[in-house]
Amino acid sequence: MSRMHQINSRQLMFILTGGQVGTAMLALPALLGKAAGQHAWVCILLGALVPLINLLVIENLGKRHLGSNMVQMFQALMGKVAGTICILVFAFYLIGATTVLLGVFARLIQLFLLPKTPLWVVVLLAMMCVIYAVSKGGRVVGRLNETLFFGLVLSMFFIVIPVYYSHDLTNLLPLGELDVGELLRGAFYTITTFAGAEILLVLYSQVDKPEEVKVAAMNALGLSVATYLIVAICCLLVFGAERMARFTWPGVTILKIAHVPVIERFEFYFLAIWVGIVLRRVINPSFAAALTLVQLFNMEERYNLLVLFLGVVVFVGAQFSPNTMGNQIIWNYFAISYLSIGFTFPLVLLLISLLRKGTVKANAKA
Amino acid sequence: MPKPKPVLSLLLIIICLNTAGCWDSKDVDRLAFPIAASYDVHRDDPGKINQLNHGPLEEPTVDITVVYPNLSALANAKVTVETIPSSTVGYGRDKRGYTSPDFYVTGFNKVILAGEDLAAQGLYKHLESLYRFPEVSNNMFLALVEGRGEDVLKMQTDNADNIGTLLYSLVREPYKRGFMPAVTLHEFDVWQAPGHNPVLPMIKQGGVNQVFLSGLAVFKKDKLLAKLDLRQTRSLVLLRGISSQGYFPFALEDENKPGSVFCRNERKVKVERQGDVYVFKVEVLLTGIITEHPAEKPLDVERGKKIEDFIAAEVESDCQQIINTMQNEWKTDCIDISKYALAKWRRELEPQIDNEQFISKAQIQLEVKVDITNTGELR
Repeated sequence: MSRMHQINSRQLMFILTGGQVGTAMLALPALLGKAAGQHAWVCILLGALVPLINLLVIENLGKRHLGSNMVQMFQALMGKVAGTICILVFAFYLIGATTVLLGVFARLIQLFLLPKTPLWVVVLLAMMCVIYAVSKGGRVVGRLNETLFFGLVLSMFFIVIPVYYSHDLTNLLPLGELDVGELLRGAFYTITTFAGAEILLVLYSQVDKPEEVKVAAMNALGLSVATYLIVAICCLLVFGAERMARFTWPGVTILKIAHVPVIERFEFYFLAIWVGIVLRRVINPSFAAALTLVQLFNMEERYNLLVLFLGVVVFVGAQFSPNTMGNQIIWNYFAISYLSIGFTFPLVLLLISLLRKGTVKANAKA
Repeated sequence: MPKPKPVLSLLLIIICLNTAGCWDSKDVDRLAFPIAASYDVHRDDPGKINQLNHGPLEEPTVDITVVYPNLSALANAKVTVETIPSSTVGYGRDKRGYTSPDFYVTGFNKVILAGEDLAAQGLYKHLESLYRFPEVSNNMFLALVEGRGEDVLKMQTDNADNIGTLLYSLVREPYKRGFMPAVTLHEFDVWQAPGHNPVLPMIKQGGVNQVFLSGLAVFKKDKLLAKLDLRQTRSLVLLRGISSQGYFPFALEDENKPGSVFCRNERKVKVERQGDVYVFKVEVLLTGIITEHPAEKPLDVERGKKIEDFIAAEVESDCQQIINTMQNEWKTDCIDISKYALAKWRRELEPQIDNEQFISKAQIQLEVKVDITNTGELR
């Protein structure tokens, strides 16, 4: 294991949170409000079960294959050919996720901050930062996530402040009247936002103390859930479910109602901080994809070149990102991709591992 | 020789900052900062600027009037007031591009006035573009004008920089000066959700500053329903539980010199269902201090209680009149109590909460409590 990519459990926690909390958080309340009304926040708790299982499965898998990286694990459990194909699918999924997330981020920045700046310029600027961070390896990515996390904490203060100016507690009531169908529909929307947990599959082998991975992963999920809950509850309190569902980015619109003296336009300051925070959501899967491919093709010495290549691919892909009206369709596909790749692959690997038990080590050596 | 990385990084940052700024940069001296705007039903086109009128989509329906200060020191007038007739508010911005030499910063505007006739037709379709436009803050204050907003904006005032700043000061925090709400775009929007209905402060021409707050406009969703005078406004604000403060006069039977009390208000609502009838128990709480009591008899516990009872009875009578009018004439919940029923039975009530029968058949029990906590520096 290269020390360049080695991270500690604290950094892992921040990388996992950074990989989950992104632009979608600002749009999620509208989707949940439409799906489940005042129970929007319950959908987040329900939806968090998917990444919870995902993280527990990956942690269990990693514990059973200590010392093996993701590529070795895939090939040992699924065989050389099938394993390689699955790794490539997984890597493409991560690159696709990065492209989608970057496209959505760029559209948001265009809408609120740089309406006349061409999309390619916004994407290029973002990708320059992403490529630079990823090229420095896992340790730098870890430290970056650690530092930028405090930007997320600050941005949460921003989101809470409008509640002081306008709120209605009845918007959250009644707590009863739960409808399972509505909650499940809402929970499906949260899957897109919680996607990102699967990069633990790549990162597990890079953590210096594997015994601390489980706690770090649970803490990371807790932080992500808390973040989503804060945004959803604040938006519900301020707008109510019915009005909230009409907005494209209620997480930003909520900032437009605060009357903070001197600052005046709260959302611009928030977005300035948010640019840094949300780039983690692009940096982390990019790093995971680069590390996966480096391990697969055994090209550690050409890591930077690979990162640059991936950066170009993502840059080109992000040019084709859909407009706001097409976002919903893309997000639905993204959720399905996460369930079928990010969630299912580790689960299948764990099942094979449980079934094959002792034969795995022999295969790995072979 | 080591690579000059800090220099490269710095160069990169400078290039990046400039690259992003090029497309969206605007010179400040080319910007026009509107302070107030009004929307009225289209009347005429004295400036003959409506040359695009060919076909139904170009047919003007709304007159948009905007006030913005002239930043040039050489300009004779302090402000420019311009009316643009247009088929929609958003399309009006296109026409303004031909008449205004500066770039118009819509997001800087502070006050939107709605003309009475336009409000009667419904305001949402005219305000929609403001909610959609990212540049616009949802903090813009809204008010209804008795008459046309255009006429108010075209007035001269000697007591403020211009009519726009005067209007902004007037509608910004009226709840700190009396029983009058400040209503923003955000509030007007969320008050159109099921179980809610908006109110707007009303502005009228007159008074020492040329304009004054004349009462409250009650809406059924986005359509003007009724106009209230200042006394009715106070009752509605108390019933609605809009946090504000102001003075109440009183006169006890054995005193011929009236006094006054300064109070803050609060509201509590409980709802229960008795068969098919929804029973709302509305409690209005007034807490205040005696600010004036010129009678010879000093204030004691007994007289204090009498003052409290006097004000409570007056307020209760006024509020009851509003409740009766609301249930029998307007048949619309303008005191914002339906939300408490929704908070208990949302799934069942949401489809019918805005039906006239719901609020008409509801039983509303009112109780007003007054608590005088201080008598000032005199006994």
